[in-house]
Amino acid sequence: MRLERRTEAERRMEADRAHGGPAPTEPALALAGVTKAYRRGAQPVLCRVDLVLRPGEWAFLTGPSGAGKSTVLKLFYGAVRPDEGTVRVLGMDVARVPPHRVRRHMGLVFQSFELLPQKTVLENVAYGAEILGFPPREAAAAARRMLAAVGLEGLAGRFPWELSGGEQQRVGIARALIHRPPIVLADEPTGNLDVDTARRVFEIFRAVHQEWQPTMLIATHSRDLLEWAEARVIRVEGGRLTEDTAASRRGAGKEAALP
Amino acid sequence: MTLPAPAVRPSPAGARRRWNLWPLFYMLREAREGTSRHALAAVALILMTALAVLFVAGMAAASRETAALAAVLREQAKLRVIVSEGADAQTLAARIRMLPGVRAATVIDRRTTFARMEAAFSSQVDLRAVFEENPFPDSIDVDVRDPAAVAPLVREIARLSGVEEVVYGQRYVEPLLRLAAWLGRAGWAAGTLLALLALLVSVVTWQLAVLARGAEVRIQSLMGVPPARIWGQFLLEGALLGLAGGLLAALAMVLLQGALSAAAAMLVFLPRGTGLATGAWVGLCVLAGAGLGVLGAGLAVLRALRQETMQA
Repeated sequence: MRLERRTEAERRMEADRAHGGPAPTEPALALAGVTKAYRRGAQPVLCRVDLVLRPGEWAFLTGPSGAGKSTVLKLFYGAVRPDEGTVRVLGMDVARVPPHRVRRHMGLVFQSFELLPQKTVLENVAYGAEILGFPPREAAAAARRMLAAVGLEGLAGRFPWELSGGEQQRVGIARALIHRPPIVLADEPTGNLDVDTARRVFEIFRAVHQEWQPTMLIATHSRDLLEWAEARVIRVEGGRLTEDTAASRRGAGKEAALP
Repeated sequence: MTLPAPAVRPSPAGARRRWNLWPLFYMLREAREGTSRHALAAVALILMTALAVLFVAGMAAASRETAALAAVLREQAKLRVIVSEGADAQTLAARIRMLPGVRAATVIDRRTTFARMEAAFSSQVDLRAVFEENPFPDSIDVDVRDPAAVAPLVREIARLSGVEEVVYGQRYVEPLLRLAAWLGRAGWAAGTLLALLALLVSVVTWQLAVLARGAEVRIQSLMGVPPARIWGQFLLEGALLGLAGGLLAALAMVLLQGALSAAAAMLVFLPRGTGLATGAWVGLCVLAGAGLGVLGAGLAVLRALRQETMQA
């Protein structure tokens, strides 16, 4: 029964992707009544949270440290399970499918760049394609294209420790997005970068969004970037969504609203 | 900024899946690179596996060899019944022939025995000058139909009247059989202990390897690589290193066999054994090494992967 559901969800998602993404009526990312506490009896990090992101929507998740931003992202990529409520990604109930089936359709970017020190920049990016089963030539070609896209084609032969923080993050983004995922989740991607470098990184996210319209959810502290990017802003505080600019911002999915 | 064309083209729903062997190629490449990055750990794993396999295989081979030797000796066993003074050897032989398991019973009278001894020592001593009377008793040589039934037959013959003593080779064979059994048990016990130790070292080394390659595991996990494939690459690496350990053990077995054969050639009275390092032994060594490597890697990675999958 469970296997049938998985298969059906995947089949539907593949059909959706063949047409450029999930059906417009189906949320790309959705939380419904989600509560999460890391210890039994402790104060929940998230308390009955509802959130919907439509396909192609770009949103920022903001709030103070410990507010639950990372937890929201982890719920979507299956690193934590909700105590109550439902988490859906491209129509799949995350509790009912193994995490790798969900992550296959995501590009995950983190504050720590997660680069492999023994591999060159090109090898690091190609590694993302290799582990997904690309033949070596295709993986290298895709890596070169991605490096050119993030402006690092001249650094392909360098090692990560020879790069600045911003360059390392661009390599991380290139690798995470090499398979052109329909969903991009980023957890404080500019947390280690100065404002100018952070803006350059966000330019890449903006270009990605314009190029293939993935659903993007980016957790960040940076108020400057929020103002500059003009995307939907969702504020998490005390385990609840306290602000959502969906109604006043441009872009797809404006109708998504607070519970 | 212009982004590249899609790297992944979605396949239409219901499209037939084709075998993709590139992941296996990458697994082998990562195994080679991982091994060269942690060369000392790899060498330790190979040597530990080789030692464990060699010990178990060596003890098993020694036990088998001893048992084979005992069996050969047992098959050659004959009984000699010493007849009491005054008893009639021919009557006793007739009674022995009627016992179950006896093929033949031949009387060797005391004169024949004396003549044989006299002939044997003719160049050294004149037995007639030493002994005033013939000191040898009559005796009966008994051929046994079933060598395995020697011990009960000896007990039965010893109960017959007119029997002074029953002399047989079994008394030397039985301790040899006990030694073979002991070698077998001790070999398995010590070998199992050593194998467990090798497994422990293997698990710890693999845990370190997984820790050192945590970034790769994390990236793979985050990009949606199935846990079975992540696990599989470490299992493959474990199997390859274990295989190397098994091959090393097999090579040592072959060398050991050469040395033992040379030693055995000097002990010409010993019957030939079954041979230590046959193809089967080599195959078993290699398989055992690979199994040990897979088990060690699998146990180490299982827990790490479970944590990584959930806590990425």
